[in-house]
This record gives sequence, structure tokens and C-alpha cells, in this order.
Amino acid sequence: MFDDADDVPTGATIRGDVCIVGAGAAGITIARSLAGTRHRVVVLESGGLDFEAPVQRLARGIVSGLHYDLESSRLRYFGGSTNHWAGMSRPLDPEDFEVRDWVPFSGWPFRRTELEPYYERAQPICDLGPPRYDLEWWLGRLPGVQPLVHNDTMRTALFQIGPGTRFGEKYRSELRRATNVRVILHANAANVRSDEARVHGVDVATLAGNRFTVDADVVVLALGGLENPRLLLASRDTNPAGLGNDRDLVGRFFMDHPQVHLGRLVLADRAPDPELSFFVGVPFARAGLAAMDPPRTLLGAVALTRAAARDQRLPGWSTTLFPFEGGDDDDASPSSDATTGISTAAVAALVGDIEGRSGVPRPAREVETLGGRTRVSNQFALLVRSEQTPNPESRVALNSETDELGVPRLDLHWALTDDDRSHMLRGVEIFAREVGRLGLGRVLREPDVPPVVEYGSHHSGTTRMHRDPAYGVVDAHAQVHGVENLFIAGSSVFPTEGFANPTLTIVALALRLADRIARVLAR
Amino acid sequence: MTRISRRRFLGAASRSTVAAAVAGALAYTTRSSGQQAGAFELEPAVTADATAARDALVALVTRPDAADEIGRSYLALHPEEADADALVAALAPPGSAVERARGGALARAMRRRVHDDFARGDIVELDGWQLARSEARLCALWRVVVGALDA
Repeated sequence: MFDDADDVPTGATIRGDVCIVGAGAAGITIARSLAGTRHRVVVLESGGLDFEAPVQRLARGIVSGLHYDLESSRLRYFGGSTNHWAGMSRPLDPEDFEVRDWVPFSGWPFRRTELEPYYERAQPICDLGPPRYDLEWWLGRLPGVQPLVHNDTMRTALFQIGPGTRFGEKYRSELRRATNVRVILHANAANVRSDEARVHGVDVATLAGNRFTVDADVVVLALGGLENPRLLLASRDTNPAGLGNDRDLVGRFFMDHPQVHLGRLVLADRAPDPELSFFVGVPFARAGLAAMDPPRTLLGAVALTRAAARDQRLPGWSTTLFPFEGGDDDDASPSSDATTGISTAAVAALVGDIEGRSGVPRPAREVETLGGRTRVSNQFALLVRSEQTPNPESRVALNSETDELGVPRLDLHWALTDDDRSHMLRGVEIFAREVGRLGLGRVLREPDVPPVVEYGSHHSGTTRMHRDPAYGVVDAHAQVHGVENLFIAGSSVFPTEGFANPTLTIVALALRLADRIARVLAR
Repeated sequence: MTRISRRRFLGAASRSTVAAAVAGALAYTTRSSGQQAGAFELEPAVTADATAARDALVALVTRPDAADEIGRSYLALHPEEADADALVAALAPPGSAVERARGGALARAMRRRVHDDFARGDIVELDGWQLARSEARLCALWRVVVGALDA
């Protein structure tokens, strides 16, 4: 059932067994998992069913680090940030869960195998295809499609591009029918009420001025990587530093995926699959899978292998290749080449001489891509996305300003280290070596990572997971250390982020957390 | 000494005839080696074998403008290598596959050498382009030998 917080009288107390704060991918997934059980579930959603500017303004904050658009990088209405999700999906790799001695603070408290069954269940929830991301499986179904590179150094990592499922739209009626689930719209959590070792409920405020409380045996924060720490830090019933913040870890280790156009590939004629199908997108139907509407697509990225990352002591690194019409048109490159004195045409000619072909760029052809039809020749821009290494100085804190509800606004200090920047460039170098070694082409590398970088709005790490409370806010079950009935859902628990988009893992973790909560409630 | 401008030279040479033109130009310079010295001209001590090796290497280049552009950039970074004999020695050291190769095998040997450079990480960065040192040197050789026609 759905209610509106503006209809709840000020001073009222709503009783539930579980209170889920936030109705995005994680919150809705947990609510659905508990639907139909005997447990009373209350879901608090800041917004309504559609975008409302006054509600969205609650997301404003202060940016004291790298450029970041706080207001638009997440959405405050039913369905949360899935309302602008592009659908790009891939599970984290097994190595992402491991302790890597060259990546500070790395290591999840469990292996990837722990998440396997949940990843499988997450696929249809996200309207994706079969739970297969291994190249070999797909190549067996895609005659004529070849990876650019897939060996001991560089691999082709596959993403499934779903429709960008709007969880709020897709699962609204299901939750409306669930008699044990009560979704309260326009309900902003202003404080989590607690004593020393337990939370008791959530204080709710509305923009209309209502104030009420939800009491629950279990509270789950599912507000995303920015608002989860904000609410913890703002909840000071027992600790002026914030709930769960005895070790000053809440809000620290903020990570996103920096993504930068860092170069260009000129492809030799002898490269396999010269259209680079994986980089313009392969519709599932081409693999003989049932047609879906909208069509699902397979997209490839080139990534470091586990062995290469270990040998080179690099975190996760990947690049997506974007075709653009080439020739001697350096200006067409999305990559800045103001300092480039050597033309792309010259390099293309050299490649032709060395690799035994004419060196004359192939005529551009029109092909279907995810963004519509585009012309493809032998030039590809490299959009590098790498794993940001965990850094306690990259953080979310509270500002002295408050929002319309009296909750302190957040202060985001997103910081990339020099190492983070050099990792991105180093990956391009390795890629250049590999395509040169294989005779596939030549690579232009930008000299530096620019001061302002793009990002994926993949807010992660701010309530990181670790067995030891000295290194993590939540334990392996996503329970806040020292607070027995408070759990955190979403990418804020990621100790490391890999290079994959986070939503599939968020949903998988939410399914796992729902299982845990069911066990807790059964006690 | 009669000089031909590089522009005229390149303009007259279609891609298919560049190699022959280069060989001819090199033969001309060999004959005129007693005249005014220049980068384009050979030293008297250069052997016929070395000349042949140089001719063969330069003939691998079919796109003169490209080679000139890249060679110029490489030599700006490594002016100490602006010497045809040294470049030939670096590209085809005694006993190497490139030095032994003849005919069509030379292109294959050069290709392997370039790939080996990449494998070893012997890469030069020219205006951001990550190139194998050997291919950059090949372009430099072109620049030293033929580019001087523009002088």
C-alpha cells in the first residue's frame, strides 16, 4: 500500500517490523523480498511518484573537492536513481573482492562466490539477459564477432545493457498490492533514533511541515552513497560524531568511477572484426536470444586482466572504444589534441606500412550503435574508466548549512590521488603496447588526466564493509558495527568498486541483505 | 649539384613508384658523394651492403608525408640519431633478422621487430602517439635520407 507522509498527523508513531529508508534499487528490492511475509515493512521515500523540484533541492550540498554535481547525480523520488539509470550492467570480478596488497584498504569480507546466487537473481530484476558475462560463452553464439584483444594482459570485458529499468515504475503495483508493505511518500528521514547498541526508529519530516516517527525492530538505510552517510552523521542521539561513527569512518572513502577521454586508437586493417562490434553494441537477438523490447545489447570494454593488474600493481582499469569518423580529421576527435603535431593520418599510414596493408583508412561506414546510427572508420576514442583506490581523505561530511528540514547539508570532498591519475594513464600505455605488439593499431595517449574529470555518479565506499570495525562501518552482513539492528544497503558498503557499474551489485547485495533481515526477524 | 625539391619529388612519386624513386635518388647521391656534404649524401666510407640495406629500409615507406612527419618529430626528440648509418645500424644490426632479410622478407622482419619493441616496452612517445622505437627510427631514416631533398 502507498501513503503520503503529508497525510500522517504530526506526532504520530507508525509501527513496523522493518523500516526501509529509501526506495531506490536497493530499498525496493529489499521491500519486494519481504513482501508477502508476516513482517510489517515500512518504506520511507523522500519524493513522490514523479520528479518534484522542491524535493530534489534537498539533495543540494557543498562541493569542496573535485567538481561534482550533487543535485543531479541522484534522484529523490520513488525508484531513486534508477529513474535515470542507463542500464549498463556487469558484476564485479572475483579479484575485486580480494585483498590486493597494491590497493590500499582493499578486500571484501567475502568472496565473489558468496554473491553468485544473488547476481543470478538480480539479472531478471534488472531486465537483463542470461547471467553470463564470459566472452567465450557469447562468442559461441555470435559468429563473425571477434574481440579486439583477449589474452593474458588485456581482456574484453562484457557489459549487458538493459533498458535501464525504472524500479519505481516496474515494481510499484507489486508493492501496492503487498498487504504487509506500506510505502510512505514524501517522507524524509531526519534522524535515526538510537541508544547505545540499538536503533529504535526513524524521525520523519515533510516539506509540508509534518513530523512523525516510525518505530521498527530493524532499520535499513538504502539512501545511496551520499545520503546514507549524511543521515548517519546527522543522527546524533548517542554520539555527537554521528551514528555508527565511533571510528570516524562514516563518510570517508568516497569513491566514484573517474572517466576521461584519454586517447585514441587507430586501427590497422588487419585487426579482427574491423567494425569492433563489441564496441558499437551487439543486440542480444544476434546471439539467437529472444528479442526483447527495448532490445538488450552487449557492449565490450577492454580491461586489464587479473594477472596484468597484479603484475603492474594497478587497480581495475578499463576503456570503452567509441567509434568516430576518421581520416585526417583530428578535430573530430573527442580527445583534445591541440598539442598533437603528428596527424592521425600519418600514424594510420605508418601502421599500414608496418602491418602490411595500404595504410589508407577504410571508408567510413554507417553502423547501428547504442546511440543510433554512427559512422565508423578506423578511429576510436578511448574513454578510460578506472577503479578509484580507497582514500580516507575523499569523503562526505556535514556542512553547517541545513536544508529546509533542518538536516545539515552534506559537504562532498571527492579527491583523486596522483596515483589514481597515473593509474589511468598507465593503463593506456599498457593498452598501447598490447595493440602494437599484436599489430592491431597504434594509440595516442593524452599527456595528463585533466583537473576536472567526468564520473559515473556511482557513489561508493562511504559506509564501507569490513569485518574489523577499525576499517569498516558495516560488517560482512551489512550491519553497522556495534548497532545490532541497523543495516546499510547500496553501494556505500562497497570497500572497493572495481570498474563495473554498481547497480547490479547493489541489487545482488540487497537480495542478500533481505535474506539476512528475514533471519534476524525470525529470531 | 642539381637539387630537386622534396615537394617536387613527392609530388612526382605515386605511392607505387616511391620505392623506385628513392632507390634512384639514393643512387644519385652515391654517385655525387664527392660533392657538397649533406644529410642526404652518403659518406664515402659507406659500403655497398650498407647502402643496399639503407635503400631497402627506406623503400618500406610508401607514404612519404607520413614518414617525414613522424621522422621529424622523432629527430626533434633524438637529434643525436640524425645519421643515416647509425639509424641503419640500429634498425638492422649485424646478425639480426632485419639485416639478413631480403625482398619481401624485409617487411615481415621489420614488422616482427616493431612488434618485439612493443612487447619489450621499447616505445617512444611522439606527440602522445605510442610508437615502437624501430618504426619511429624508420621514419627518421626516411627523413634523414629523403627529407633532405627539401633543403
